[in-house]
Amino acid sequence: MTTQTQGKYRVGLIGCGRQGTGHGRAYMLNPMTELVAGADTDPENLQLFRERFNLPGYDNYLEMIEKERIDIVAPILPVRANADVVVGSAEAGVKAIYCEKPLCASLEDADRMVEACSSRGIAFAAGLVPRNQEPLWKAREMIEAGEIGEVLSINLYHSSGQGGCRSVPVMRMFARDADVEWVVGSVEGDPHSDEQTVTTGIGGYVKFTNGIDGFFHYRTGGPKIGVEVIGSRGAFSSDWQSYHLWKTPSKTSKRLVEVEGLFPDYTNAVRGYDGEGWQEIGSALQAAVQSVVDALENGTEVSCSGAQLRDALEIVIAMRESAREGHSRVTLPLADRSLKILPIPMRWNYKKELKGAEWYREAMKAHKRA
Amino acid sequence: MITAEGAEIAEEEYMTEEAKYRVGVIGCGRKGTGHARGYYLHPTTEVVAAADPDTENLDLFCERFGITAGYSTYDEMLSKEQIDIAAPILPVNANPDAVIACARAGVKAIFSEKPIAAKLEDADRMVDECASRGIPLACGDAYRSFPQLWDARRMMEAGDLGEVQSINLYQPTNEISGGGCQGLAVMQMFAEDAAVDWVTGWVAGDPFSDDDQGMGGYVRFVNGVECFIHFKDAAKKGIEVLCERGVFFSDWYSFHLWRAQETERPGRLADLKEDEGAFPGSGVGERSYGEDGWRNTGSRQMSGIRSIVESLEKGTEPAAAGAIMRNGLEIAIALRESHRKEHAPVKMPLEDRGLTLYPHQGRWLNKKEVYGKEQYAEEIGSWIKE
Repeated sequence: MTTQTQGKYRVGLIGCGRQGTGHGRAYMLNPMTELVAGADTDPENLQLFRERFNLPGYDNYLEMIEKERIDIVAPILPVRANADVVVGSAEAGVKAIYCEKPLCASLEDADRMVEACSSRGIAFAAGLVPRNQEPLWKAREMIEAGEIGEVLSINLYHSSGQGGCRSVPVMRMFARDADVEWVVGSVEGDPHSDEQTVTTGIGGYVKFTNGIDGFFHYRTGGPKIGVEVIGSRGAFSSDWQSYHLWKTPSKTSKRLVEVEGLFPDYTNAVRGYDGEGWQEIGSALQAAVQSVVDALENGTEVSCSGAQLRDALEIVIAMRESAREGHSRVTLPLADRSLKILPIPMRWNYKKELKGAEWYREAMKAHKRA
Repeated sequence: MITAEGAEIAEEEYMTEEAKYRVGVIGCGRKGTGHARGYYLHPTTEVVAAADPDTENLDLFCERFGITAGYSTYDEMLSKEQIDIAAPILPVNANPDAVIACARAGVKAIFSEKPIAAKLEDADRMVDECASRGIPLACGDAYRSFPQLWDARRMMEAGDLGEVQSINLYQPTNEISGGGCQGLAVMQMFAEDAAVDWVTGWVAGDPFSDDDQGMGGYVRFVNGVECFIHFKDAAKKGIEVLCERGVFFSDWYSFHLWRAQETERPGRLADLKEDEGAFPGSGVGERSYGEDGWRNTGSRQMSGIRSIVESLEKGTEPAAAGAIMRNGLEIAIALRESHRKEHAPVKMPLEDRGLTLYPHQGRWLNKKEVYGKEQYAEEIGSWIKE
């Protein structure tokens, strides 16, 4: 028997696979949420879910939503299935949705998902991404309070993999979530391909409507990863595992001096096993779940919304379009919403189909010690 | 005496060896005095003549440096004196004609100031005139002359840090040609002086003005290196070169290198360690007065002079070659042209060589005319402590 905290919001998991199991555990740990059911079309996954969580399993997510009176739905699915399930869940009347990333392939699917939620007042969170990290929000608060002066430019390194969903929302975060006026881009491979592998290396420039410059460094494999925010009196950087803030000690000083002790080192990776034998959930996922709860309780924005991932996808697509047009300037929003970036097969499709049942079974064992 | 490098040395040690290269300074003003001081301190150069139509400047200069061969025009100086190194240190509007005249007069090397010119075709003329005669042309008391930058570049060329991937140039200046040509020259250096493929740019003010102003942009070199020009007044200033296995940064006063500790490509900055001994104290920015009363001419100036002498000795290009400075002018103009075309990419090289970027008045014209005699006298007087 697996113990579970009695919480306020009823959570239904859609997709009880590798990543879904981790999300399910995160809801178990939050005092304001209660995982009550799971849905999966894969009978083996569903059975394992029932055994591990001691909860009902459904092979139809809409049935689950209705019968279990689901408040928060967690569709953790291959990307190809994401759009329809998110829209279906919204239409079924849930209060919040927290899906995974990449959001989808095309802008029009992303628009559908965002619109389905926003028109119904549904909190829509997406992605286990750096934007969920609490130290980044602390840094943003400090920066908004003027700790590094005016934000002037933002560098993004190894920026655009997975359609930009990991790092681009962080760039926007430090640009005060301003809209993008125009972009110029170049890609490392064939810009005329719609494949995600091309967008792994996108370079160029993003001009935000508030005047902040965004620079994408397209070459991959160097030691600088993450985001770097350059201000008039300091700078902030994070490689998604550590966080650093520097200030100039005085107006006339030419040197940046790091301010120590502001941020704990952050380990995103799952580590070890807890007392109940479950693999530990990283703090980013816990923070993301909490932000969904906060959104329901207080009407605040989730830490990384579906709209943010849609916007990130649009920025990266725009940079690719620029590369297609000889690096010409591309203004946003893009008129052609059918434009897309196809995620790599391992994300687009069901992993079990690609890697085989044996591999998948082994991967599923990692979540919980026997 | 105290040398520019801060070493204490007997004056005769500098002048015991017969000076090898005869230097003619053209323009005996504030900056010309600095260059001349550098030649005075260098063991194999000797200032033997000077030219300036401003008799006040010329007289002061000749008195300070013990020159008897003073001329009111450089044509006369070049025709009467045997000059090895010509040092035209002039307002930009006069630079092209003076450099070309020196080249045609048969000098062996030319070390002028920067910016090189306002018009691309003038810069081309200067570069071509010198190149066709095998005359090394250096341009500018330039950051690019810092030996530490060349040390860093050699490490990169040797593969110590892996391939250069991208460059951040943090250059908050309201004159991308006047002062900003410094950073543009160093940017090229770390892109292996590759040609530029295309740029996208933006300017701080009116893109349809031909006057110098602050500019930012994206520069893509033909070898794949990309450079981001951050032009706003940020806390971070200088140049940062990101390589596969290391990062180099200089704020123009200090130099830092972080290297990977393992042979495998590192994943994170935390995998790099600063190489503390890579660049010992540079002395950059040291401008105090020596025992002889002269203000320290600066390690950058001395590096530039050593570089032009080395060009003569070894047939190498000077550190801040005229061609590089011409390229910098071209990049700046291209950034502006991009903004004029609503930030469309601009392919290089530019076809229209008549394009122009006029430096600020204080660089374009004689500073004495722009700032007035009193301020000028104060500045030129500051070279020597009374």
